[in-house]
Amino acid sequence: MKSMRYLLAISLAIVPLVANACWHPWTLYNSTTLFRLDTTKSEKHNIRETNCRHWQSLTHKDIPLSDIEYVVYTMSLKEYETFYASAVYYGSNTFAHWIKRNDREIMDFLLLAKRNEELRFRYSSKWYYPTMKVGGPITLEEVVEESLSSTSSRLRDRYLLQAVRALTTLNRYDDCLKLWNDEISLLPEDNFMRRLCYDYVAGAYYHTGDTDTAMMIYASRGDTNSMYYIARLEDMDLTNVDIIDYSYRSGAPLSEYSGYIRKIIVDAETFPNVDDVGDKPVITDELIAVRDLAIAAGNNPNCADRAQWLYIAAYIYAQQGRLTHAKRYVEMAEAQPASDYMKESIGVLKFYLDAQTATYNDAFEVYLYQQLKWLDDNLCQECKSKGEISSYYWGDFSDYYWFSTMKRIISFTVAPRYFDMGNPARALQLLNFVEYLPYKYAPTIEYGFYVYFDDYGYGDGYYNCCEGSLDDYRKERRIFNYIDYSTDFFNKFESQTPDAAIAYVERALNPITEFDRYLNAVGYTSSDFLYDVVGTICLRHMRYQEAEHYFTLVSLDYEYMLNVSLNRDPFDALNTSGRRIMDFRYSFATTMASLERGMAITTDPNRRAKLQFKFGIGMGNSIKDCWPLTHYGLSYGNDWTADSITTEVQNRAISYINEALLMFTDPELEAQAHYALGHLKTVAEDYYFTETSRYVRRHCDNYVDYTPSLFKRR
Amino acid sequence: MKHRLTHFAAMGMMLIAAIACNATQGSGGTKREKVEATNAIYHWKGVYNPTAEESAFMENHNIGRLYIRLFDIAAEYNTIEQYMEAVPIATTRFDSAVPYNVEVIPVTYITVEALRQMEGSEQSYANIIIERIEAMASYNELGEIKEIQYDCDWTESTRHIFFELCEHTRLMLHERGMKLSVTVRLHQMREEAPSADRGVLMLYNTGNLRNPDTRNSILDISDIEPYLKNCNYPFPLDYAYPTFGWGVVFNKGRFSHLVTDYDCATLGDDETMRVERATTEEILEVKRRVTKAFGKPYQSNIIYHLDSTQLNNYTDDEIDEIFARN
Repeated sequence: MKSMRYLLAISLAIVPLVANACWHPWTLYNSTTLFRLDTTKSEKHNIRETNCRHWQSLTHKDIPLSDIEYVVYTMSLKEYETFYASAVYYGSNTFAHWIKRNDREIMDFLLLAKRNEELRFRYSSKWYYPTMKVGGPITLEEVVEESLSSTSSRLRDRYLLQAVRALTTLNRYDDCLKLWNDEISLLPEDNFMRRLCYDYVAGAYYHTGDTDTAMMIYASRGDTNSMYYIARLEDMDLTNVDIIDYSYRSGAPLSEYSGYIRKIIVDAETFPNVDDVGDKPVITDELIAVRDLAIAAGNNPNCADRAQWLYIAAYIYAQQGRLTHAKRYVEMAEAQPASDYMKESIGVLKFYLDAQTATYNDAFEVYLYQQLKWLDDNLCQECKSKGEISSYYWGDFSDYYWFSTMKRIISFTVAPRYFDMGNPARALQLLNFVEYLPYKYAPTIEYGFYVYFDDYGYGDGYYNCCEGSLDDYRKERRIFNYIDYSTDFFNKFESQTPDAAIAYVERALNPITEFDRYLNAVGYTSSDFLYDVVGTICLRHMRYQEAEHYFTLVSLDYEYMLNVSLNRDPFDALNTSGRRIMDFRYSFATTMASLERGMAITTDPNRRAKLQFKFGIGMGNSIKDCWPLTHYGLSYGNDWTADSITTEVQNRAISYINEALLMFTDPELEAQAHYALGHLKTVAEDYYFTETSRYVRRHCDNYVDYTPSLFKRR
Repeated sequence: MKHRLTHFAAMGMMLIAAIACNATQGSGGTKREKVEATNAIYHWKGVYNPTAEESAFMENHNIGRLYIRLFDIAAEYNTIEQYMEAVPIATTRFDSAVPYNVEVIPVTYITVEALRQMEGSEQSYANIIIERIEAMASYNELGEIKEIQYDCDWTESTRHIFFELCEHTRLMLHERGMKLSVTVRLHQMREEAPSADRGVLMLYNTGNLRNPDTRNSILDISDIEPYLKNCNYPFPLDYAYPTFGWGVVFNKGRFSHLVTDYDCATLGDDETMRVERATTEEILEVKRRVTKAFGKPYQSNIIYHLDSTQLNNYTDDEIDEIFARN
């Protein structure tokens, strides 16, 4: 009965407290995708560049496009009017210089075009009301008049576009259509201005009641957004797939409406409308309909984009998990003519399918190594083309296609398969590699911390912003290291068994193959880091001798690179101390290992009971208030408090303590043990004649109440 | 420093307004503005299309001035530019022409949230509001606009924005030969006044609508009485009286909603209804006391609002008595 009472008291004391540690969220499946169609040739996406090239051809081939773009698109009306009015241009823009010196016609045209845009912008304001004066030196009606009266034959098509824009803004749709039919439609089909008129003309048709013609024009342009908008306005029964199908049948280039297809396919795996994201795509009827359309288009010999359609079909089959079909269609896509861009997309999908279906053997490792280098090389190019990457940690690398593909293939396909086949070392090497790959291209990170003016962390202060390498960040003693301890790789690493973790560390620190060295070169393979994690895992699994060994290999300074610290004495059952314990894991490991050795060789019951009592307290605390001894965090997403090893540690700690209490033969030592556990009433009543009991009774008025009434002082 | 300057400016404005008030309403002024006394009524609907009864009402009661709400200004999120902005909403559509012999005073209701978005850009907003009102007046042939009115239940924290807006609006209107008026709520009578040429004291919605213990939230003399002291206001006032009613529905003693149909059979199990309408006697008693306290209306006694279903609750004689200026 007595032991049961202790058991209850101790159990309550060891229930772990849920504390929060700051964690960077793990990369989720839905933040990665492999899907990519070729939009590089989309007219819609390249209007600005195409227009600038036309201006270049109208002026001088040596004028940089960026200079043209500045004058045509960036320069405000006010700035342009100043430029227009000045006699001489003193700036450095070569296009501005050229037109100022050589081309009054272009100067005049651009003034009209910029005024037109300014007026159109004002008309679209929510404050606008018909007859409202929108200001400006001319009216939209005058823009129309001036455009149509222009005698410049080489800029005639451009003036017509300006007239169309102004007419649609003025709701003069009939005039717009008349202009289209009388003049613009007679321009050559490949005239850029004529093509830019299409959207306005379609709008004019719609507003004059000819919805069918409007839809037909939009479909032929692949303008799915306008089709969707009109379908909603007119209450048409048109699904997203109908709109895609309509565009396809109207002969619109796939690049013009591929965004619409992409949305359906990527939404299926990024779950934009679902709170609880999973790691498998959501297969919808819409997705299947797109797949069927893609199969039909891909098999159509007259279709201009067969490779892309077959790729779409393969991708959706892969989302469905129908890998044989997916492989067949990706091979068909490979056989079709395609742009280099699209060939890369197809290659990535093929690698992804291989990673899911291949037998993981030496040959596959060679293939995997080659493919990773290929992805890495492309990521390098992508980083160069996107320019300087300011920060990785606070930024987002998921919009880098080649990183997204790497992450999807490694983190969600290859590594899980290596784990499943019992090769956690290779899986962890790969995860480590992919996790630290962005730092190869974004070597500088931004971080900061709050500096308080007082010594206690309260009141006023300032935020100290820092910029440096990841190593600088790790060495910053005033902050915890959240980066290294919040990655997918770390999450998997620290959840391994001691044997698996040790095997990985051995492989990481002693590379065997070229592939090992390639992975190591990117991953975080500091021996301090690796041994600290292995040692901590050993502590968690009560393997104190091994933990002691690994912590002796960790340098003393490494403590400042951790994400946790310890402010409790792990051998104080009541956790009354609050000072920071330095070198806490090493100290704890050596003490526990020493106690364990002492317990094994000590025969005196009281001495052994003392050792075992302290051992049990340390073990219990290591998963309770002193959890940083055995873990790197405790949060909602990483709650280990109920896992099997924690339960086992808890049970064994209770068992050690209970056994120790029963083992004492000296009442004084037994009373001291109860006192350490806070069993003051027990000490006061059951060990009445010990010094410890006397101490309890005399040193606190409250404890007097525990004295039996017979002896209570009056 | 900015606040201090504003304060001095406001004091200066008050002084000027007080002088102006003496000049127009008092007896000793040297420059009297021509006062065009007439009957007036508010139009507070989304569509201007008076029924035959309403048109007859205007004709029979010699309505010479119509306060028409043209649009509200509310705060909305601009999804393209991604910021909150003050924009016009609920613009009144004109399905009928306004009688040529009726002067229209455009009214704009401004929400407090919209005011907050105007801070720092009051001058620009004053400009665009006037431009829009002028455009609407022109487009809908509302005749010559001599005055526009702001209706805003400004708060202590938004007062400076509203005052700044009024200041700019008034100056711009004066350049165009127009005046600015504002609605004045009873509780605002004890506050500093905005820069305006004239005002309309709203003698309705005087009580707490949501309080189940309120007797009549539309008009209750006891709610008005405390404000009838210290009766100097820096610009001339007209008075607006309520000729509407509604049912205030409470569910388990908590305010639920308003109804215009007073049929108690439509109430749910836990619902009760307080039917509210100002009687002619109450209106006339308030009118008597307000006139005694503040003097005769500057131009008009105004009725709120042009709605035949509500006006049918009052006889022609009663309406005439409300309109009467003496």
